[in-house]
Amino acid sequence: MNFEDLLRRAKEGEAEAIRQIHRMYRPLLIKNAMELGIFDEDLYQELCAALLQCIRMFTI
Amino acid sequence: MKDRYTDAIQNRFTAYLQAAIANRKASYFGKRNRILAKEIVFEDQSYKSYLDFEIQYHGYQVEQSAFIVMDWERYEEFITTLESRGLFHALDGLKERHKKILFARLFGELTFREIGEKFGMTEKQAEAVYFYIITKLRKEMEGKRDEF
Repeated sequence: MNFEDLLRRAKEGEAEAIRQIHRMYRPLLIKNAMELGIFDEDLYQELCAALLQCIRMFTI
Repeated sequence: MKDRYTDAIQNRFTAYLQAAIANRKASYFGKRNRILAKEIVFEDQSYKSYLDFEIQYHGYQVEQSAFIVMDWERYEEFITTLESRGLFHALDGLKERHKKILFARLFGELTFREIGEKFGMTEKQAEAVYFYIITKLRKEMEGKRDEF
């Protein structure tokens, strides 16, 4: 699957494409949500919101 | 060729996301604990690792941040993608109205009279508010530098 197409579809609001990008970046989000070895659920939610915002704002 | 282009986009997106994540994280901790937030500022340097996509991203960022010159009202987007954690924090701490005035003056290049009209103040008041914001930013950033 071509990432550019995927991103374009996600930008248009296609739920499946957004889900797929989220699945791709989940490990990164989880890594960043770890503080001192403890998983911070609230922070993870914040980062998910940041990902959605990035998809919307990123210009190809 | 096509694939390489797509990779570049993915790299740029990853770097973009990482910058946003770092800012969001900093803002999250800032809200939870203002003191802890001050400590995050100096991690700026230690996080640097020079991967390929970061170099690509820098080029991209210069290219992309040009919009702020054309349209200062998109300042929220500009702040989100700032490289400097310290500056991001200082700006994040400002009131919405003050951010608007700052960007209107710096990037919108409005005169104090125009700003005054826009925000319902006299010219002198607008000038005073602007210099108050500048002083506040400077204090915020220097204060943190002095701590370490």
